[in-house]
Amino acid sequence: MGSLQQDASSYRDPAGFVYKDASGTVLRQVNQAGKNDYDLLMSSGLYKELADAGLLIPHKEITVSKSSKDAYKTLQPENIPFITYPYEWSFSQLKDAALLTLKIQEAALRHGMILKDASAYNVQFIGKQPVFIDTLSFAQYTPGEPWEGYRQFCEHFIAPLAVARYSTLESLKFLRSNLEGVSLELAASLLPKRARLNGGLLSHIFLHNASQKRYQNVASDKGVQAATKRQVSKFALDGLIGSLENTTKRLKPPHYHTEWGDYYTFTNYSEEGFTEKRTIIGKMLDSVKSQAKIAWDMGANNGEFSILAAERGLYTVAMDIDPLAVERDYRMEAKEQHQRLMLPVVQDCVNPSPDNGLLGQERQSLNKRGPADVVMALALIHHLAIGRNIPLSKIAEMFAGFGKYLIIEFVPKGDSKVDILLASRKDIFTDYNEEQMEQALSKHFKLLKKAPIKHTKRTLYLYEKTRA
Amino acid sequence: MFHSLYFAYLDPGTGSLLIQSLIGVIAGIFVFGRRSLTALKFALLRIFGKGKNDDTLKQDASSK
Repeated sequence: MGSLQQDASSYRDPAGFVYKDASGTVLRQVNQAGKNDYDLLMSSGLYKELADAGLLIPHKEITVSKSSKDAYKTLQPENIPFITYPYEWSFSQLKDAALLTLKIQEAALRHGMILKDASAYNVQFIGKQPVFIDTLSFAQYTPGEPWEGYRQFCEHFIAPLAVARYSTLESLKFLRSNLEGVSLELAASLLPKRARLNGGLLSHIFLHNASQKRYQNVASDKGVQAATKRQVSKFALDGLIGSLENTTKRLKPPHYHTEWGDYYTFTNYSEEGFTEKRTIIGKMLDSVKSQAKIAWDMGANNGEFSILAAERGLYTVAMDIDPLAVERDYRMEAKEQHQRLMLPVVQDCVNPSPDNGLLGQERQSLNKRGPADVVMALALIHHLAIGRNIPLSKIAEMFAGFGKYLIIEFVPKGDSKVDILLASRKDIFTDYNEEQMEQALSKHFKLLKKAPIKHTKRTLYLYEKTRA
Repeated sequence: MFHSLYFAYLDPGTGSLLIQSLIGVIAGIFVFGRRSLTALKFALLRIFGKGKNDDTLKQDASSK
């Protein structure tokens, strides 16, 4: 590897690896071991078909001065503005990533290739568009060979989606601790008996798990011999892929038909107040947009205000703790030009994604993926200060860690949303007021603008971080 | 036959490999059942149907 800074998540596949060059550009080296498969990907027309359709990340081959001696080629893939992980996706994002993987598998088989794995981490989102990023996942297909990625597909996609389907969206948070997905065994034990009535789940989870258990302790010789003698015909392989596709398509978010109609309604302030809030945020964004590329909207709900940043050309990551809000945001029709600029993710800013995986480096914490140029915290502070007892000084410190500019809305006591929070508990928050918040923020930020929102009791602020 | 298996960097799981064929064939019949029957019909028509007119072709197909 020489002195190449290999990406900490790119160590599994001998065919190549991802690294960052001195300027921070993400590159992918194809090793000699991956030469034949890579050449076939390019010469078979598969790459062109997938890249043209926007399903596979496009790349160009480049010449680099420094590469390790087993290097065959170096690729520069199109940049992904903000990396996300499956444990940050909503139900439909995970489902779309699964369907993308199967679509790519079908295309690969048409071109005499096969996906050698089926990791959910091979998919990223550019805005709301899923894209397959692992150019080296493709291998030559030998008729009769089984799909080695079958179990991984079931554990990374089918199992978590099925468990969520029969419990709650919250269960997708398993994926933060289980980086290899939800095991078949765990899924089979969590799913209710009636899930067996679903033919797809019966096959891909329950029978699959039983077979896995049956053979896991067989002396490896016998098992491997049996497995390698067993041919999976093209008909069976197509059937398997088709069935996985049908099973995935049929999985719907839990309570799909009940909670969706009337989930999000702005009842808190008047139409005028709402319009006024939009106008002020728009002006604040206008004043910083020339120096900004990426915005993080913390507590974005369904992205109502994130869109204001996307409309100004900022790549906007709309984060919310509520998986249902993120689900709605993701499924909301956006104008085409914003579709690739708005990325909804599940994220609790008080318990953000940590460094995770091998050496604690494989999957980056939220903070390491920053800082953002603009941080938006609209109607959030009362949830943090009152809802979760976080001192204003800590809140200020947290925002300072997220980004450069901060657009923050103060929601005072007396506002109906705050009163709801205080209704069931003793008001111990004697220092929860504008002055205290301004003072806390002044330790990290310089105030650029303060604007009360007419027709409401709330105030909007624009801050710029002072040197860290 | 499957030497690629021995070089696979992902552990596919023995039980997982063994069940694939079974699930795949059954699923294939469900998923492609219609399509494969249609394909079969046309294949038979091509072999046996030459020179006959359309009506007999249809009868042939339904009787097979």
